[in-house]
Amino acid sequence: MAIEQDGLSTSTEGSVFTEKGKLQTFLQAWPPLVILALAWLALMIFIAIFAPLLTPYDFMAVDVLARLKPPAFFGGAFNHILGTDQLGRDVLSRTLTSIRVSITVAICATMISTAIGVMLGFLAAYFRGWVDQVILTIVDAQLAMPFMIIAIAVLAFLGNSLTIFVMLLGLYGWEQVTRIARGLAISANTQGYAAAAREIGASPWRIYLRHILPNISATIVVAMTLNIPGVILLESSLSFLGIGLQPPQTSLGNMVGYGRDYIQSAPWIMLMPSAIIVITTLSVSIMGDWLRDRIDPTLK
Amino acid sequence: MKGELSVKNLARHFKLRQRGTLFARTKILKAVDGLTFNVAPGEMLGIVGESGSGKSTTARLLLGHIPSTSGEVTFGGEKIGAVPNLAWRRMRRRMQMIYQDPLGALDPRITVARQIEEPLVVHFPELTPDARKARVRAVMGDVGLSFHHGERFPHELSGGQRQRVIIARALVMEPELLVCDEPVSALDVSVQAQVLNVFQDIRERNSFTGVFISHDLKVVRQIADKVAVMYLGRIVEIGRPDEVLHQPLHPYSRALVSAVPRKGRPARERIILSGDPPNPVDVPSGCPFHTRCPEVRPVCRALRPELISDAGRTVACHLINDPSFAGVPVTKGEAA
Amino acid sequence: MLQFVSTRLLRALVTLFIIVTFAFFVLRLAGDPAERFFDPSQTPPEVIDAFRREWGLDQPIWVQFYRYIIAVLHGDLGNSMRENRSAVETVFARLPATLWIMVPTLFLKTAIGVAAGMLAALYRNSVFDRAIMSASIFGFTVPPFVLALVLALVFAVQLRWLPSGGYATPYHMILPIATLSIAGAAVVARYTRSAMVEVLGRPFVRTAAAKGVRSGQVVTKHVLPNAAVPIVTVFGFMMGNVVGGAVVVESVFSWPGIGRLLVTSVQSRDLAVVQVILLLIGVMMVLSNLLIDLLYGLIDPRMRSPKAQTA
Repeated sequence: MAIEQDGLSTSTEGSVFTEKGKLQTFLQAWPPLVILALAWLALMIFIAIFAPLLTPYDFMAVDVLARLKPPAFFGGAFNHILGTDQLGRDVLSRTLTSIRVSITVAICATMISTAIGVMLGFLAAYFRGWVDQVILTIVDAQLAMPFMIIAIAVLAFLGNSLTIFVMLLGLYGWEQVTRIARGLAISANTQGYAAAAREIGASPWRIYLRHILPNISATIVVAMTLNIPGVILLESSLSFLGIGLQPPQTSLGNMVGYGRDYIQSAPWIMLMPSAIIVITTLSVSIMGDWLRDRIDPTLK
Repeated sequence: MKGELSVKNLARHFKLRQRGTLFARTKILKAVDGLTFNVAPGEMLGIVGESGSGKSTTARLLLGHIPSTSGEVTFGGEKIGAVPNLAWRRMRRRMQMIYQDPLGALDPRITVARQIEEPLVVHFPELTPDARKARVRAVMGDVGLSFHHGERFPHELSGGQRQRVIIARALVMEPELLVCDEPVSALDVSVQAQVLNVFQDIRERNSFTGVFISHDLKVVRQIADKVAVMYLGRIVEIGRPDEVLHQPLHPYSRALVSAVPRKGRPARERIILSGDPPNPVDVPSGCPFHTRCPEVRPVCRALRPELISDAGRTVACHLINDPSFAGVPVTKGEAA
Repeated sequence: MLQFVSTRLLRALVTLFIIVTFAFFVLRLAGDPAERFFDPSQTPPEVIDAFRREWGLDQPIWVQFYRYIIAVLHGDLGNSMRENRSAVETVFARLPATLWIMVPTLFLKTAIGVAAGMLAALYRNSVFDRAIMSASIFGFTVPPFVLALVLALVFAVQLRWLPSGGYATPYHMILPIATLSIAGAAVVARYTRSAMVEVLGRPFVRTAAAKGVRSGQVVTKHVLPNAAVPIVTVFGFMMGNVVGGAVVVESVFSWPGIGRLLVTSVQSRDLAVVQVILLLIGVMMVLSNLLIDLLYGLIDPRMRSPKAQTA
């Protein structure tokens, strides 16, 4: 069968396989939507790194004379391009700072949850038996509770310093990573290379960190990417409710939360950060799906 | 220095749980059921048998990959356990395994030179990187790999080259015991020959003790000093290859040997065994082979033959060990 | 089947116990509630001590935990520190308001989501499919509070068709329900589509179609029952999340339900009320998971075997 097809393809190559244009091949590998998403994320990361250099005003600078000024082109002046809020603070400066805070928090939290997830997944895969059962039960319990409710409860009684908040968000999504890492490690264990590494006398640390982890890292990275939108949404929702990041600290959700009181008189305060949240989560999702299709189509 | 591999009453039973309508029943699969043999230092034992005869389980038991149900394996007087602790890992320095599937046993993300080097990193951390590299280069030369192969990834090599990488990795620590589980059966015949030649070269250079498992009698004949024939987890015949593979005594060995096509022997002289091997969960009473044996006698159903050495041959068959049982053969209908 | 049911029951109980334990330890180990409730610099120490004794906070933690478990089993979860009645009463007084918006939402989003997902799967890769899936991605990535605010901005502020918040008339229900249904339908549609697409590609469906079974019958008899498992899973999660899913939306629309109570209790650190809400949500989740698990057993006989449970 295979040979026949080979024969066919070589004899009819000219007619059946018309060569694709370079542009077409390029667009197939890099769909325009993906390029847009990647560009947006690059911009966000650029802003996250250089925000202090980009902001025209200090994000906490109050100017009572310039309260609730609309953005330029909507009747406002160019010295506050995105207008000002109820305290006369520059919305552009606050937005840039908020992007920095929200992006940093999301990335740190995802790294924490990935680390926890991989560690627990590996522990479950290595020990099996009752350790595995205990970890799986915790995973089930975590899945059975909406994370936002847990987060609200914890924040209520731990207070919310930035550290606690990031650690808490770092628990978001660990159970997904744990399941993936556990499954992959177990299947890697049955595969030859892990058994072979064990056979040459390598320690479990070496087997898991030097052999299994690099082999499953692509899938883990995809899972991480798919986790980020969830973290951003969670952070902004909590901050929106006023139980996440506390003023004077600012974040995108925080801005929307305080801006909603002025939804009638000054909608720009909340619209700008809202739009950025939506576009960013959308971009990360698009990038995640694209990465998944490219790197590991089996992950669903 | 080099030790003797000694196996006593080695057995491995697997519990199978079968779901009944009301109660779960436990059945026992005797994958390996009472093996006893010795491999002298520097000797190579070949193990042959059909699939399902317990060859691979034996290999894993020998190296302590899985715990045995009973019996013990010692190498150079040291007991080989199956608890993967520090002592177990230290012991890997002295014993290595070569696998059937070379691609699967190699880490796809690491260059092969670094994989050959890894045992040295694990066991000889005091070696300098240069000393390690030199040793890797030497062992790669031994197995017939050129140095530029080392920078490649496993999927970039051919099947024969991969198997040589596996051999090189096993040999880099100069093990005293090498267990090979069907090392060449995944390769095509011309590559098989090359790899077997590499094996023999290396054996001549540093004489390790070896166990070589294969279903291919020709390969075993070429490489082994001693051959054991396994059937349903037991050894039915063991001895020198020229005896076991040329004048087999046990009916099962005879059937196996006759199945190898040979020039000048008519195909009709082959002994065709009827039926499949019995389910290892329900091993027949008496001689496990009696359900398929062309020479079956009434006693074979009742009494299990032991592996007995007599006149230089070691066989587990009533007909051979006690010719007085060789009465009237049972007719086919009764046997089934 | 008996074994299947009993292991599921056991699992549900274990999960419930973990949640109860979690609630207790997080809330207790987080710090001394007495010091959180009073400002130590401004309150005389006798008052704080009396408070501790009254709440049993002077006992060792294991004694507290034991008493707590006993109290939970008796349904006695303490008093709201803010309102002067039992925490359970406080929470259950708000339950009807939450159910008023969440029950219609549950049915709306399931109906819309399943219908849209099925159509998208049946007319795969058509314009229709693309449109539904794009809308669904938007539903996924737009946070509920943004959606809620945008709807409020358009329908309440600009058009002035609907009230922007409150609890007075049935019109007040429309925006909260709309927000939650849009977001939920997106999730359901996505799961339904992928479940359907997977089943549509299986050999038995193609065989049925090849045998000449009418396409309507193929879908109702072969595809739907097999695609039901993932859809039921999502439904189960949403059912359990009926109480917890409304936190943001209730806050935006000033809807006096449990979600808003949770936020205000957190802000005023009303320990007992938060605990009751946490337990209520936990019990809802566990019960609906249990129900779904048992449903699986009916829908898909393979789920009953122990192998499928671990896989």
